[in-house]
Amino acid sequence: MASRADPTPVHPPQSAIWLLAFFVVLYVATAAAWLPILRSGNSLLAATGPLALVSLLITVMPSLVAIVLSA
Amino acid sequence: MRALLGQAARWRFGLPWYVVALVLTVALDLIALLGSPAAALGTVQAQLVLPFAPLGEEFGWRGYALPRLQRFMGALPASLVLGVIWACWHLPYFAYPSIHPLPFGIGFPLFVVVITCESVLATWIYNSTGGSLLATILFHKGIHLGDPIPVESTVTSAIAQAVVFVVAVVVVVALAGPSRLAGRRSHVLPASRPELRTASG
Repeated sequence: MASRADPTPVHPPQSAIWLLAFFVVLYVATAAAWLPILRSGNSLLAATGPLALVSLLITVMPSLVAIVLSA
Repeated sequence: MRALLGQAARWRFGLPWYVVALVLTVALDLIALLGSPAAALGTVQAQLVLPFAPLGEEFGWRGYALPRLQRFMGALPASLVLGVIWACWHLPYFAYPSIHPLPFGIGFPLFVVVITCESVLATWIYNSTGGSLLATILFHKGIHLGDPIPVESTVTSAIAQAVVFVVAVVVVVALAGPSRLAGRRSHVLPASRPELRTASG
């Protein structure tokens, strides 16, 4: 965190692009992950096998996208 | 990435904030039930309590998005924007009545109100603890600890929950201030001085 004695200028447009990218990538990736679960017609609680892994992936998607974008 | 992950290691923010983070939403849910005893008598619904949700979401919502949103607007508008986005991200869960039993037209708007309020409370905790993701992870865990409380089982109790959360947010905003949403002892830079914030990704 920058101190008041060492102000560092930010670049709002660049920061805004990364922020927008986070939301877009997150929503697209989440939608893509939800499709097979919703198409299966099964209860989310009854998901097994690959679908259970996909449901777990959805749960961690926001952090996953954030970590990938900040890498 | 180090900056993002490092936020979760900020643990020295005082015992009271640990208590607030874990207990606040459970207490608000219980208060909401006081106004609708019929719901309290109902069966505790078997909600999906995902142990990974706090860790899996908070690095994204509070760790990545919130600091960037607060560069462009005050803490309160940033929290409201993030709250709506956070709520809409949960939209597919409404395909499962076992998780959200109310009709979509009633349940989802009330859900947006509650989760937006939770976003404001999370920002308050995040800013007041010097940007600690650990605190918001605990807060998120507290939200899921309250899942078995049947506040979404009837329209009355769901409305009561929304009202209680809105009142809680009004109190917090009045005490902490809409531009900072932080306690007096916090070390968060004012959102109105974005030029003093870091330039890191």
